[in-house]
Amino acid sequence: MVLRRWAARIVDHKATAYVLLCVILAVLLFPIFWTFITSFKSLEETFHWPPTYFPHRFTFEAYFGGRRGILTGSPVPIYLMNSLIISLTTSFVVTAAGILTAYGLVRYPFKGSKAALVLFLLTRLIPPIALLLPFYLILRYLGLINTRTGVIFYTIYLCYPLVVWMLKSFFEAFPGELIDAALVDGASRLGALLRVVIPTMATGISAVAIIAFLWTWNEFLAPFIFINSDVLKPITVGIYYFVGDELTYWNTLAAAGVLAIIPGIIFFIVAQRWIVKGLTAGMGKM
Amino acid sequence: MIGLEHILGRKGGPRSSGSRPPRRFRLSDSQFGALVSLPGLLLLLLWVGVPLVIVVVISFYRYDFIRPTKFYGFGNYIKLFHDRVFWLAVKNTFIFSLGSTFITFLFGFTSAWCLSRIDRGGTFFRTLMMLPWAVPLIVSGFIWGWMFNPTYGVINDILLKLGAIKAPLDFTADPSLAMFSVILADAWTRIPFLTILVLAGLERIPAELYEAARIDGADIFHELRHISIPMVKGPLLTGLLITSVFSFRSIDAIFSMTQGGPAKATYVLGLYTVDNIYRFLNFGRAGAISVMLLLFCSLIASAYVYFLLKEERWS
Repeated sequence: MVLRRWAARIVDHKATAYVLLCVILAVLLFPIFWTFITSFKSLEETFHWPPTYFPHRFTFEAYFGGRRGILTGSPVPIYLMNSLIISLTTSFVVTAAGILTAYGLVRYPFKGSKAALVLFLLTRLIPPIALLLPFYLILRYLGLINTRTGVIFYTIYLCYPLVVWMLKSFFEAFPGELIDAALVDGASRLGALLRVVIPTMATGISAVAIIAFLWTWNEFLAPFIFINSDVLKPITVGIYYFVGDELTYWNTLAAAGVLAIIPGIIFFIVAQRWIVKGLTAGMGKM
Repeated sequence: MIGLEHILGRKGGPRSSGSRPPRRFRLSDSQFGALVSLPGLLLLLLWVGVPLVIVVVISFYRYDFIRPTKFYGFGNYIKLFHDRVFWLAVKNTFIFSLGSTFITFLFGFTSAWCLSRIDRGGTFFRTLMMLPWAVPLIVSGFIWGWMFNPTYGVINDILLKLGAIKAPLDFTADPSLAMFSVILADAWTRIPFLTILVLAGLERIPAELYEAARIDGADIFHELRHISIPMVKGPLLTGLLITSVFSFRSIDAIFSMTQGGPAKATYVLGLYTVDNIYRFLNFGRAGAISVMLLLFCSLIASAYVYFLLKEERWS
């Protein structure tokens, strides 16, 4: 009993939360820290034992080291471009289509609109990997194998249900009086969406678009299976071929990893609050 | 004020009837809703429904690019159920998914609870907490693979310095250690999501509940057991469902870390599907495995829905 009272007092103390958080954060952030550190080492130093926790010789050779640097001597810039094209297109298409769908389903319900919303939720539970084979066959039939369009085709499927579900929660929370006021002023229902709803919800909608962007950016399997030519690969697939059989250039691999995680990190630092809102709005009360 | 539209008679006012036919086909609200959302619904139906049908149909065909393709009945499934590798993959998948969900829960819940109790620096801590979510799983596999490297890995060095081990461990060569390593790499990117979900739930709990409990002489453990955990059960279950379903079919981290080895110790169902599509070109079997994956995931999902409904009946 005494022991319990002591334990309760320790756990209850304000400082405990901070200490625990710092410990957890140290564990959680160490891999990211380690990737950054490794990318600034020379190749020899990556094979140093015991490993150095800060580069003895701080160097950019993994990035700009001529033939061995990933930005100067490898197709990584092309990979990044491909990732950007695929993610931006997907994010745009999915968000635009999702806005219309969610607006119709939430604001102007019709017979079966509730069921349709549940359908969107259920499709999220389908493991995408189980649909990889049929998508491969469909894309082959359409002649879209080994194209970025083919990958986008698949990533739209990946993001669309989630985007509609997140937007649905935003639309539900949107004050209906604003729309009614616009309608009274003579706006059409579509006009109210364009001129009132979208501007008011701009931050929420961008958060949803960012989530779709990141989800596509992080996708590996579909482009891995659908794309063969080197010039069309996104960064996630390109990075996979950096691991050598004999010797892996860990510093350049780490540098490629840094470039692959940078967009996500920037987005989170800039729009953390809104991304959190988007995610929790969509799933807090699923 | 009379708007421009009114003068032009867009609203079908009496004065306009001469110059313009009155609008007869104004859609009702529900018709409008259906019209606007129809393209999206069609998209969903085409993008999800068609592949679903195709994968189920293919699973009943012998489709392997060696012999002529023909209807095979339950042939693929029967062969699968007699396949040792399949059952090994099923076992590994469950261990992997449960392990990943457990670690995610452990870290996610603790972080959320801490975040809900601090007064200062909430945004700062929360932003840092989210960062692993930005890392693609395939990259996470590489990072952890590099840190777990038996000869140059930093984790061995840390463990040696802490005195936890005497000699460097070969994480990716020992079957159980390899499973642990890939679970860690997978869970790592899932922790932020569960954290923010649970945190949102914790922040919705009214402070008066805690105050009332304190007056009744409750300590922190009572609060956790009787207030915090019961009150976040909904978001927590949702997060755990999503984590378990997602990790059930996730193979990226395994792909870049162990490729299913050593000796198939980390070989999971998703990897078996991809191998059948990509390496063995046995599409019939790949279809059957995909359908099994679907069934397993629905099983997890229905268990969750059952629990959630039971919760709701009580409260």
